[in-house]
Amino acid sequence: MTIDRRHFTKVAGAGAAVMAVAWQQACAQVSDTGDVTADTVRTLLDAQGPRGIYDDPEEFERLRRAVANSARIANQLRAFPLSEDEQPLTVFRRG
Amino acid sequence: MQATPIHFMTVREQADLLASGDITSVELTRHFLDRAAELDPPPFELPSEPRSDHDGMLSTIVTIAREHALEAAQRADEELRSGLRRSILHGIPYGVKDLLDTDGIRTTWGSGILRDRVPARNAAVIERLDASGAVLMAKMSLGEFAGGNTSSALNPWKLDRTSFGSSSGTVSAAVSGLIGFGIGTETGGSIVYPASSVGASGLRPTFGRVSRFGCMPLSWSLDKIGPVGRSARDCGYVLEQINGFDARDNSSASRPFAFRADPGSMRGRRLGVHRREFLLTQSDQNREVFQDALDLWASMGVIVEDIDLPQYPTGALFSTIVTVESGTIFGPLLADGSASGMFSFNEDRAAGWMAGRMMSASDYLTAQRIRSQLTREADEILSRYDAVVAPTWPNGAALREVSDGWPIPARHEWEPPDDFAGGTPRLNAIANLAGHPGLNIPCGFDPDGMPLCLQIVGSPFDEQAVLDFGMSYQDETDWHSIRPEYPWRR
Repeated sequence: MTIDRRHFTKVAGAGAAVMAVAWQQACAQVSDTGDVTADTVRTLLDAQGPRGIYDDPEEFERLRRAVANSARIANQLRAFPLSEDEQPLTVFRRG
Repeated sequence: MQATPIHFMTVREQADLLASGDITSVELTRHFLDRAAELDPPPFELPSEPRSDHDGMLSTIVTIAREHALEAAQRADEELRSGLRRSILHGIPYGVKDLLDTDGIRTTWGSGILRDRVPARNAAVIERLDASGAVLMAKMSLGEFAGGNTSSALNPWKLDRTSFGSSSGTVSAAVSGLIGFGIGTETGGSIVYPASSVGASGLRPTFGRVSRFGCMPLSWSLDKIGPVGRSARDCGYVLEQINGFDARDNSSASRPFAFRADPGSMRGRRLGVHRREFLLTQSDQNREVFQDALDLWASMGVIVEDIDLPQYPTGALFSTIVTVESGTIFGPLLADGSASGMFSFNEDRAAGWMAGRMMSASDYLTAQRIRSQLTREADEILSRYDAVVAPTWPNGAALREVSDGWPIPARHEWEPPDDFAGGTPRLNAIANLAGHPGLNIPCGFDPDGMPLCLQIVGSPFDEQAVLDFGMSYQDETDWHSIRPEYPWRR
């Protein structure tokens, strides 16, 4: 199957949006219940690319716990007071 | 007074023997190769699971590059005979953590998944050491993919104790006299923690000081490469050779380092003491050991002042930055399923990488913004002192046994308090996030005979200041010269 650029942009954009929404959902679930659901993790997993080893139920459960932990940490960092002038440390440099 | 065996000599002592012609590089290299092959012969099983014993051996070496080393030593001797001495390291054999690429010599990143990986290039650090005339003799064991809380090598002071991670093979081999000096890497503590657990001198340089080209990345924005040796001076001599700008590493800095081996007078220099970490140990003996070190500097005229360090969610920052960057780096291992070949202790780590791939860019950038603020505050504090010091770890090395992914304290003296997120003492966490240099030096022993060490942290690109503190301390004490006895204590 060949897809044109417009179609590709649409599919890719939808993928990114799914990822972003599912991640927000994970953060909200952790905030509300302390944990994240398997459905949310499955959505994130499929949005990021191949499932790899995470078709295995044991590995998947390990991943679910890791996602809950990451979401907990993200919530902690979001609550940290930061000046609006603060720029991120990134590597890009000219000259 | 008993002469120091050649394998326990410092870089300076080995260099003096070579320069005077009392020994050749081939003889010195053969001595280390034979000793390594006799006391700690690879291969050990890869990946190196945390094990209780390796039949009384340390498991410090993944690959001994005997043929390569003897050829390089031969060349070094020919040059010395013709009057060419490239540097103080000329002719000295060294071991490098097995995640720096070495042309034609396998580089496994400590994992069975890559047990047959043979690069066709040298890492920048290997190129620089080649140019300095040093002799690559061995690839040293490490926690798989530079995992920080598991030691692949055992601790020569007591085999049931951790040598931490991830540069455990390099540090254990350095204090056991199996290599002339070593090269380790650090993302969040992987030089200074293992060096502390075995009593080695180890230097984490300023971020950007040493090129990471050709080294396995764990976190592009946190990784550093640095020297390990048997004295602070060893670290200075080696850093002088491996530092320098490299356009192949985006973070490489153009700030050349010329080492001054004489610390000069310490009178009037200012040392900040993060006292809170000195009080963490529950052992009176440990407290006295640490206090004695501060008293010694004070007796030299150093102005010693207590300081406090800012409270930041350092564990959350590390976790976010490392898992997002590692998730990107190791994505292919996750996608093709080869991550299933990681050793069992690392199962949660692979899941963490995958979770890192799912985090939003916004959350990653938030972490890097908080880090930016922390860096500015930390720089300001450091600017008021020549260096800041704290125990590298408040107690002697913990047991090899782990609980919740963390080594169990041998005497159950200390549990990481809440604000030591991730079990990481604060000075080390801040210094790593802010890219400050840090030197680990031994300063005594705990009641079980395990080394206790201090970490001296300095301002960015002021490695000389931390080395001055280390050298001045080691000129007045001999803790760095005390060696574990063979056979290693069980």
